[in-house]
Amino acid sequence: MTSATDTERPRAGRALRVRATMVIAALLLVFALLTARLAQLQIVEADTYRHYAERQQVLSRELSAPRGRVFDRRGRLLAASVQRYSIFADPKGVREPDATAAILSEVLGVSRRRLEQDLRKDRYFVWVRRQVPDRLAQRVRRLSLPGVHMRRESKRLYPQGRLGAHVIGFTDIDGRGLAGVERTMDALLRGRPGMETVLCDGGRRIFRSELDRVDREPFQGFDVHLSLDAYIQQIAEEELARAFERHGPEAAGALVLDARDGSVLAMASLPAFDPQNPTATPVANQRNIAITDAYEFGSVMKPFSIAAALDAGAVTPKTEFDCHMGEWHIGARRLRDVQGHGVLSVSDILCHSSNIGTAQVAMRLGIEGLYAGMRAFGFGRQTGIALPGEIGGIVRPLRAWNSYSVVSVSFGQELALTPLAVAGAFTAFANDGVVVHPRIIESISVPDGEAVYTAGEPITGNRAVGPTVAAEVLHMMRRVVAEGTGRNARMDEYPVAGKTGTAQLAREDGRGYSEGRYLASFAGLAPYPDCRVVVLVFLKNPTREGYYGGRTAAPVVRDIIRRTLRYMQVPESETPAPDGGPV
Amino acid sequence: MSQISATEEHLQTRQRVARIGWRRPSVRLTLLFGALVCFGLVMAVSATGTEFTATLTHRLGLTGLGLCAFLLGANTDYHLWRRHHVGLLLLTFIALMAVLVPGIGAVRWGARRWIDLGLPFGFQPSEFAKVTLCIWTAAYCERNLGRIRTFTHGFLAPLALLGLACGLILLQPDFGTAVLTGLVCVTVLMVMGTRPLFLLLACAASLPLLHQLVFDVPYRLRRVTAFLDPWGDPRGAGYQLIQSLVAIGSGGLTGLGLGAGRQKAEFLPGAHNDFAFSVIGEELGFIGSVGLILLLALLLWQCLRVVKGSRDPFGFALALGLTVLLGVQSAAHIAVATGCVPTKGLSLPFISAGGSSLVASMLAAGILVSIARSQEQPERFDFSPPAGDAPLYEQAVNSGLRKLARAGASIVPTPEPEGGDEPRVS
Repeated sequence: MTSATDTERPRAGRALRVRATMVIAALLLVFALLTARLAQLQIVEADTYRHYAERQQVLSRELSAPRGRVFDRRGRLLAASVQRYSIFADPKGVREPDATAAILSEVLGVSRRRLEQDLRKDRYFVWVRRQVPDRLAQRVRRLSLPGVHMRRESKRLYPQGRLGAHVIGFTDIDGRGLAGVERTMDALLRGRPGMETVLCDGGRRIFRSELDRVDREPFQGFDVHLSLDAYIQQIAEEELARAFERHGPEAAGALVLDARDGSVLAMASLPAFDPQNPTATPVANQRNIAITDAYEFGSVMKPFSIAAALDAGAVTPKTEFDCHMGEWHIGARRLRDVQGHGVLSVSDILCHSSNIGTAQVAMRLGIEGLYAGMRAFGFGRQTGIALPGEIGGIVRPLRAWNSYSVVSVSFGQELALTPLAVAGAFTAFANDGVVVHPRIIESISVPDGEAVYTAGEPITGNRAVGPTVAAEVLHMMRRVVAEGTGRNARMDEYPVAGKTGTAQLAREDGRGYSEGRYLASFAGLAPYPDCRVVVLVFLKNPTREGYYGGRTAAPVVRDIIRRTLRYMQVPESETPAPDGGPV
Repeated sequence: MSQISATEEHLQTRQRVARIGWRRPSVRLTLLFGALVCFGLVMAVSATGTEFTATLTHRLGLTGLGLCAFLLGANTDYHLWRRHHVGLLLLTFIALMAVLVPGIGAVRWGARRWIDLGLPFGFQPSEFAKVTLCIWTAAYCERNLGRIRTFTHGFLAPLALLGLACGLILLQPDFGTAVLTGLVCVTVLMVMGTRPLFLLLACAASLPLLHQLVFDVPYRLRRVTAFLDPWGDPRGAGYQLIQSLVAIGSGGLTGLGLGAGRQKAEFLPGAHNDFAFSVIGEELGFIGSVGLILLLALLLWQCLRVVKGSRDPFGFALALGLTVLLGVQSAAHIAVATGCVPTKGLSLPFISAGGSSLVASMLAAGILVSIARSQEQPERFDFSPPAGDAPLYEQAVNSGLRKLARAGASIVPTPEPEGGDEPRVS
């Protein structure tokens, strides 16, 4: 037995050892196969997986470029962007939606119910509140709520508040220009966003690492310098607001143009809005009615008819017409003047704003002559100002005119014009008969650097009438203020030339004129005879204390001119013009 | 060669071996295990990225506990485990059942596997069950050495018991650990002499059950189909495997550098645990991952030497079981990460996060070192069976050998024939 086991034992042990070795060898073989598999994954197919990894790990992200700034002509800041924190949530990472919503709604003042719904959404991103003040952002950060994050965003600010809102316009919360210069200059203001490459984790959250790189630096948007003068704009808005208060019109507007180069110094519309929060007021308030609405201006257009007749040689300032004591029948129509006159010279006709006289002047000029004259002043075309929504107005083609049109057009009916077009046309009388194009952009420059665009000087426009005619009509308009219908625009400090206008408003349905609704307006140039500014004020349907342009609009123009010229340091007249006397 | 001279020569050898420490198998094993544990420590910290200090502290605490388990295993005579194998089995069953009780077992990631004992980690009975079942199997084999080829003792009894244990693990559910444990124990039984025919029959018989287990549990079926074609559903069932492949593949030859892996940032679920190897592949590349595989292969090679050097059937079977356990689990983990087998939640021993896994693995390592040490100091052990068991032991072995001799089989455990150190089994 002993010998048997002694001889058998080593053999048997060997069998066990062989089997154990086989088991371990099989395991080692598996390891060898796994090594081969690793070689396949990490050497042969490595590029495929590296590519896939890069696709999911690396994010190419935009680096927002700061939006350009808007300045007035003297470098006052009108619009600029600042960096603010925006708070957002990752609903997947929020642990207690209700409690989180309760805390956030209290700190940030957002709707709790909306937040509760948002935080339960099957999404990775919802905004909580955007562009909050740093103080609130700090409070939220200190709460360190899970799933609530913040990122920096650019917020547009308008340091001057509502001032010039219709011109400057506004942006949406993402910084896209929606109105005004913000919209027309959007491409330049926006700049060019940069690109960066960053690493992200499986939840698409970005984490900073040394591998981050900026592929393209962001380029800050250009600075836009407007021709607007914030102070003159302030004057215009204040004076217009006062008239608005006093006369209760539906809408009103004031324009101040540099008479020599057409720069828009002020462009005010009422009712207005806050560019910081444009949705707080009705959408209609956002209309820049100086360019988006066209009106039949009435008597304000008489200087253009008379200038056209003078320029064509049809009449001279001294040519006399019988004004039939304020009532004259032409065909089936009856013309009336506010005050009856007998025989008036052309100069007197304008001075007293006689419809009957103006009609006769235009009839002597003829239908083609009047049409050509109106076109020469640029009516019926856009002025081309760099503001959105400008319309061209309506000047009907000659073939659409009827026998009565020449009469209507001569005193400003049958042609609907934007206030800016009318104000622009008045520059002709200060520029020896040349209409300069109104402009709002003074220059565009790289941020705090050299200008890439300058409006240039002088701006040439269309010659509408000859220099002599321009001087003659300007003189007539001086008489309007000195002794005619525009006496309310007269003041001691500066000699003003101008023209009143009181026109029935066209009915909303386009059929004739509405009874008792008027557009009161006044266009003034000062200081006569070397006029520096053109001011146009119009009130749509004034309801209190008169409706005549001479009564409602002329005092506004007077006050605007006085304050503006003082601001521009134009010397005041030493000897006040005697009342009613020739100037 | 006389008996005395042989003993003298042996003692001289022993002294020489004692001087040159790294030649001792136990020292080699300890160094290899230590290398793996340190590697695991580094990778655990690397895989976390953020919360560096907290992770390091936690992992150091776990490693300390693991070290205690290692020292326990290495410094006790491994026969201790044989003496208490029945008690250990009972404890294992109690723990495996307790974890299924809702009040006791904690549910994480859809499975009830943890018991909170106030340790820095959740106590996971199935991790320790792997080791205790290895101990029990080894002890069983030794006790039934003579009857191991019979159907009842070599197959039915152990398989029934193991099946019960694995069934409990399966209930958690933990498919991977159940299969792994069963596979390791059956391998030990096979090596120790169970007839392969029974196992083939058992396999054939369990096929319907396996089919049921795979095809009636939707997530397992999804995993199987996802394994076959992960790109068919890259955002759903195939997501984890694809992310693992992307991690390993994008590592390339040299890797992205330690700590520079990106897939662990919420792309790859379980990056620090069931897919720890993927992070190694990404950060250390082909060179690093093959280095780890070589380290594991070297460890298996050394363990095999310890297995073959065992001086008694229990030591042989236990060393083999623990070696196969560590080897198969590592291989399975890497195979899962590289998409060679369907996704199963198996940790990488010594490296994956998970306290139970680390402590149990280090306990197994300690037992292996203890077995290795027993071969170096033969004079320390009395290889006679324990006094109380002696009649039973001798009777069992002798009757088994007689039966074997009659059957003409040649299966008797034999340790290294080294002079007078032979275990007296006859």
